[in-house]
Amino acid sequence: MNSVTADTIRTNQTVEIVDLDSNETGQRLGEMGFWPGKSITLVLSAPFGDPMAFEVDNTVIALRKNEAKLIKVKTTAA
Amino acid sequence: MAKPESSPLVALTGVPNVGKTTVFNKLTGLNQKVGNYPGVTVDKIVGRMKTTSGSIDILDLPGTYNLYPRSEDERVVFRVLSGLEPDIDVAAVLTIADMSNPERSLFLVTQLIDMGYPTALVLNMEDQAVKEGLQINKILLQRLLGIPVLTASADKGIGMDQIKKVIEESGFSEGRKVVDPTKFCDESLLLKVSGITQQSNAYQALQVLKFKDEERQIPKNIRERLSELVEEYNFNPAQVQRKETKLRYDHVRDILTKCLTSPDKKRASITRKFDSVFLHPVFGFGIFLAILFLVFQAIFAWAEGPMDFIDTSFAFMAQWVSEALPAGALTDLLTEGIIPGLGGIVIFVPQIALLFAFLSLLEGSGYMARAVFITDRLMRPFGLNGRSVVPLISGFACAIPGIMAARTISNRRDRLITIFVTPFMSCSARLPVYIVLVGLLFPESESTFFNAKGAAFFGLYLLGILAALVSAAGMKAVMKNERSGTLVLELPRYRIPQLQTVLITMYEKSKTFVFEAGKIILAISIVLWVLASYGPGDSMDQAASTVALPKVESTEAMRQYHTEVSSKKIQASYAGIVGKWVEPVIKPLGYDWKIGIALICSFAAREVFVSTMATIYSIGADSEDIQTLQELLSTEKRDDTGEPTFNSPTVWSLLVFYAFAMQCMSTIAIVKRETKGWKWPIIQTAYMTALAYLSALLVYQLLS
Repeated sequence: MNSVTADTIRTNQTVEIVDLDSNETGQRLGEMGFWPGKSITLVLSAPFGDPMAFEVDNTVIALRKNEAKLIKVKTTAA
Repeated sequence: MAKPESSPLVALTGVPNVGKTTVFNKLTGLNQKVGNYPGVTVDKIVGRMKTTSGSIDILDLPGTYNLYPRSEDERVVFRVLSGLEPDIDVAAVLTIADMSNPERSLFLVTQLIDMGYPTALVLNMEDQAVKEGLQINKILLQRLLGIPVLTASADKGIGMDQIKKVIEESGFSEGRKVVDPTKFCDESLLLKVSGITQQSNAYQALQVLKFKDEERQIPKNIRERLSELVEEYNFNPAQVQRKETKLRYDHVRDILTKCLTSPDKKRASITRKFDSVFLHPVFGFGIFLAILFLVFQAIFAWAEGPMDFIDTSFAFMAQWVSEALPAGALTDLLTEGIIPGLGGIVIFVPQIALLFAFLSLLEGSGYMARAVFITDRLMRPFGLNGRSVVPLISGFACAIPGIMAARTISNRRDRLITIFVTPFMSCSARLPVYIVLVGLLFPESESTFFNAKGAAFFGLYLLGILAALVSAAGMKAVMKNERSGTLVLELPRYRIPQLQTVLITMYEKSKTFVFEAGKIILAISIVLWVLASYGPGDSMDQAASTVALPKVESTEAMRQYHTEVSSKKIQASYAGIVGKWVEPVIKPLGYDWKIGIALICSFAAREVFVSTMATIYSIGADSEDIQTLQELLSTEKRDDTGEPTFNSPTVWSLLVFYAFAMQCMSTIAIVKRETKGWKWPIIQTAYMTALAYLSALLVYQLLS
């Protein structure tokens, strides 16, 4: 099982969140729906690969690369 | 009797992009009042809903995902609902959710219930949910939450009657509490907090305790006592916050598994298709630039007709008043001070209304979030973000609507930087000044496809952009301590914008400008009028009497006589005195005292430069002929040296000065309004004037 940060996944790849940074931005992401146990999909990236748009809870939320780094994910078994 | 401000009201809440504003506008129409919350720039919007027996006030709170005070919007909602705004008495909460996407809304709903407010939930956008094949067991949801649940499609007006009925008959109820605050900390701690802050509800007390440091609204002595309690009980806010978030998520997931039947197929595929075009790495930028071009055209070209109309109407009104009233100081004040002053305020309304019509359309359709998404990376090195693009581009037409539009930037630092640098963009008021001065530089220039005049204009626009970006980067470096922005931006589904929302936005923004910035603009224009129309003692009359009456009183000769009199008069006025007084300061820039007068008068608005020069050089106030002015200016000689006043170093120096200087009292007034204080407009004016002065000095000294 690979544990990576969310900024490294491919477009259209679906992964499960395993952990969140505990700083304030991390907390904020948690409150926005990026919570351990949920699955997220990278829908698309802006030019230069930043920001990135993730689908979570049926909503698309854009994060900067630095913010996506705070989310640890594991690739779900296909 | 309670004062009217503190009469109980119904608060409207909801996460962003669920159609909350549409519901609010349908409930209250134009019966809306925009006010202020202390210490923040968020507008306090209260609307009045008519009922059969009278009316009920509804408070439209900003859209937030939760009740944690991290952004300014959230801080307002947190304060109001935690009872920290003494003037606001919330009797009940109506919360709006997107029925096709209930996952996002329920977190907030559980918090509202725990706060202890009588609550009702509206599942909006029912039509969308039905279309997507999503089903919600409303009765079960109602039972699990313990509050009334309604369904509606507010943009089609469906379900509004039931919503009105709930508000009118107070059909709210306190729901089933989700999180028990005593699970996180000692009950005695919460009781002590309640004793200090007068909270009646345990969760409200916990919230205040968790966020006491975020909340400047809490008096210092109370915060200190809370800090002592935190020490005494070894209370860890971050840990409690994490536990609470987890409990709420588990609860929401539990409710949804029971009530929600969602279809297997992927939803919102239309939005996906639109996004593949609008967010395309190449076409996306093209579309964005095309939309910007359209907006720019609108505030530049479409607004011209109405603006000319306003201009002529006010001139006509002044003319009419001066003929109808007996001549005297009061009439002069009316016709030369107050009426043109009012005209100078109203003239901005077409641009403001048009820009906000576009912004409202872009926001309502869901496109705005995409524009932010694709431009965010480009703006970041300058301490700006994706939301700064539209204000900056609008600045090319007029800084005022641009600065008002900066309100959509939630990060404080990014918003201040955007407001600070927007006036550097070359606005349409600089254009007449540029036309006259560039014409002086290149009088012979042919109007070919490419000529020197065109290049000079391009250079001046570029100079403005450069100054804006460099200043922004500089401010970013200075404001290092400010919390840097996060993006975390929802890309909502594409939707058809609501006409009513667009119209109300246009109306409210224009009204705000006229009534709030208007006061300051009127005051300054009266002061400037006094400076230009009065002089010490009878100096102005004496100056006027030096002009000899023409021997033959032909129309032409009399006109010549009158323009010469006004020229002598303004030179003898207080403005003339100030002009002479500042001459030593502006001499190194290559200006004489006559230019000084024009600089002072154009503090009201840049374009006044042209008409003031026309008056000083006695061309006659009615002459709008730029050619005549240019010819006269090019033959003008200096009083002392006898050299031409407008040689090329002086003209370049003036151009650079006008490109950088903050010569627009309307901008100053709106910055004061938007930053809620005089600090930023003063820093901004000082900075821009200093930059203008030093650059003009450098240009003149290098060229001469």
